[in-house]
Amino acid sequence: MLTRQIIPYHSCRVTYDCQETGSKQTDLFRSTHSWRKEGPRYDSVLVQGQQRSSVFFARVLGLFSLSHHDKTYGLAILQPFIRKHRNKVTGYIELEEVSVEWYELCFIESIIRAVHILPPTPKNHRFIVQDLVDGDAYLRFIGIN
Amino acid sequence: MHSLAHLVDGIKRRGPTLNYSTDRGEALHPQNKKYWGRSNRQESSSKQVSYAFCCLGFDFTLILIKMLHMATESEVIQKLRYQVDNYDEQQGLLQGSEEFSKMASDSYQHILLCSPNTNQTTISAYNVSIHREHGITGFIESLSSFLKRNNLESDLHPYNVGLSLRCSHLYADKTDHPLSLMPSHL
Repeated sequence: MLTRQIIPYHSCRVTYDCQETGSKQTDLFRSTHSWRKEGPRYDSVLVQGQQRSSVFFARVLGLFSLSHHDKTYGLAILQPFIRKHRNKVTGYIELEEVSVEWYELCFIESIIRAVHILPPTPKNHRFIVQDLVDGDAYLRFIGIN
Repeated sequence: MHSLAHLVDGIKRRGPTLNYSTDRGEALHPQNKKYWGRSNRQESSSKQVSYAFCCLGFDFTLILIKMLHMATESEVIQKLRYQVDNYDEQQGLLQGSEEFSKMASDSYQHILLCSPNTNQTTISAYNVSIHREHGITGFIESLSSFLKRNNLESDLHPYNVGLSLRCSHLYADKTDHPLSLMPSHL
């Protein structure tokens, strides 16, 4: 187990059906400790939950692939966010960070798309999901309240 | 403010501004009156608005964010409406193009890992590196239980202690957590 070979990756390209136009859209998200030599960058993604209707927001801490019986599987280390209700005043979806020790492993196939999440500010200690970056994000998150 | 946007066009069309009046015509007054009717009929100042909201217990910046949110939302909706209205046209254009045939063929890969590390590494070395980066502990154990759950385990090791759903207490519904089984339907 300990000597099993894996290949770490620093970015990932995900293609999804855009809910706005029905066409294929491509997102590129990164998970690297040194982004253009300017420090770490760990992007956030939307992950399919086990139930069909459930989705999760998570930060990607690491990406790697490992082989088993001549097949290669991509795995991701995720740090899930706890979803709070939409802010009554601003209307944005708010998230709370959990401790890094509650990370999850998942197959990269369950990642739906990349999400733009704003970090907390001194005034607001919660993360904010930017659901208006494009039509697809708007339609996907419209049911979340 | 908005009328400034038409200034250049206006000058180009009508010539130097000395020759005519730059006031807004009376035809535009009803519109202004409508806005005035909705206001508090005071000289507007952001300080006043801010004070009013503070009295109600709101944070002014939050109100601004909300206004921004509403404005962006209406923009997104407009875009969506445009997409819906012009759907047929675009489909007609698309069907001729190569992109459409590429889209129609279902052989695309949903997700693709990019920019690999130049050399392979072992799980124990990776464990050390992610512990250094994120402070993650117990990675090897959780990886092996994850692999076991998905029947990807090739060798026996001392950590086969059955599956543990690490974060199940975080979610309201105990059975609901990120999809970790083989996602065959995706």
